[in-house]
Amino acid sequence: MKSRYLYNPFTQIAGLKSFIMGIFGLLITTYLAFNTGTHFYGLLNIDFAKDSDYWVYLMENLSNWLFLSIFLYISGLILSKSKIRAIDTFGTTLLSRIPLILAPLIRTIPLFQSFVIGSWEMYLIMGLYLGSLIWAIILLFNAFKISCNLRNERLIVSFIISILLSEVCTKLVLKLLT
Amino acid sequence: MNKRLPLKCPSCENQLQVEQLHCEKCGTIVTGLYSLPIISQLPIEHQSFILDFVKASGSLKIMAQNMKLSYPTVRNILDEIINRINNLDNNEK
Amino acid sequence: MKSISLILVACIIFSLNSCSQDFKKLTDSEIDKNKVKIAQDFASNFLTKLKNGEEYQFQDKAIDAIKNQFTGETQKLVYQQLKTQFGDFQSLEYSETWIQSNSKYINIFRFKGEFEKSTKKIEIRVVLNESGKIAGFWIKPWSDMLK
Repeated sequence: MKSRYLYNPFTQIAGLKSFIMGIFGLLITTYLAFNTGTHFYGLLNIDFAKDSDYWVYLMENLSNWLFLSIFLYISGLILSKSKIRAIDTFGTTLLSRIPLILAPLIRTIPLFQSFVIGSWEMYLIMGLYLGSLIWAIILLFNAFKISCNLRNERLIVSFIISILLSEVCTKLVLKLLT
Repeated sequence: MNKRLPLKCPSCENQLQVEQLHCEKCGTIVTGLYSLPIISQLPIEHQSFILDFVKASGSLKIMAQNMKLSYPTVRNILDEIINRINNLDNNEK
Repeated sequence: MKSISLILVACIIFSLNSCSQDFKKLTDSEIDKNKVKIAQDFASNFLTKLKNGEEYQFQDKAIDAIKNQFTGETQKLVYQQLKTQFGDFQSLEYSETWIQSNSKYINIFRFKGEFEKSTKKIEIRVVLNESGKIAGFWIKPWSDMLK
């Protein structure tokens, strides 16, 4: 039961509770991202450059979450037969991003602040990021499944399309704002 | 000892029907062929859920608190029960 | 045919090996502060001159290759492109120093530059050779990954 929390805590945690926990996680991730220069350009994109003010990192994390939540929620409204709540989709989506804290966290170690392309430090960080990304995507999938009560093809297809659309929108908005 | 009402035939898995009802007080026996009420045809967990739901005055929020599950999880269970009831209802018609 | 393709593959592997160079970031105690000042003064003066529409005179501060590459016309063009993309140069601050592992005399100085239009810091990279002369100069978006 306890290990299930790692990939699907949403049978127990959703709604306002997940939103509050998720906001807490987002603020910590943003703080670490700012201090270490870790940019999240969308769910699937990471960059390492300590080159911006705090608000840029906050915009990145907020827009990642908001666009993803909006597209997932719209998918749920269209495809689900249940009466879904926005707070469930937005809250669980936010909570599912918590594993992404790992990449900026490891970069607080001075060894991983700046490094050469192709070095073992780079591969370690990218490996850690990939692991945390897979974990976050599993959480996001379960969050969407439970908050919108979707199954089978509807679930999978709308999940993939929502991610792709949110990636595009996030990049567009960040390019305009930053 | 609490006995569970069997719903499916142990030989062929078909839905069972009631053929005989018995009055404990006067000994009267009623014989016929009656379908089980829809609620009785649901799995026992769903029947418990429905009873708890009514006791919670139809509040999913209270149900979620009592069952220690999240609101959408409880809502999804309810939607599944509604689906099953609709299917059973359609089959009967 | 088989032997030719083997030779080609060997050439590619050798060239890849020769391209990959190990770099090492220097700690504060290892850094030559004088060289940092030389690099910083050069970068700052160079960009300020260009911003004011003047031509920077390298004199004996740079190697011939740099002097030949950055003619007056090239300097104007370079700054025009910079201005279009990032806006006017504002200031720069020192960030870090790297050396190539196979040559501790080649120093790579990385500065974070502020430009008018850009919300992000831009890298201004100055390379000094063993004689302390400018041997390289780049301006590009900042990355924590050294390329």
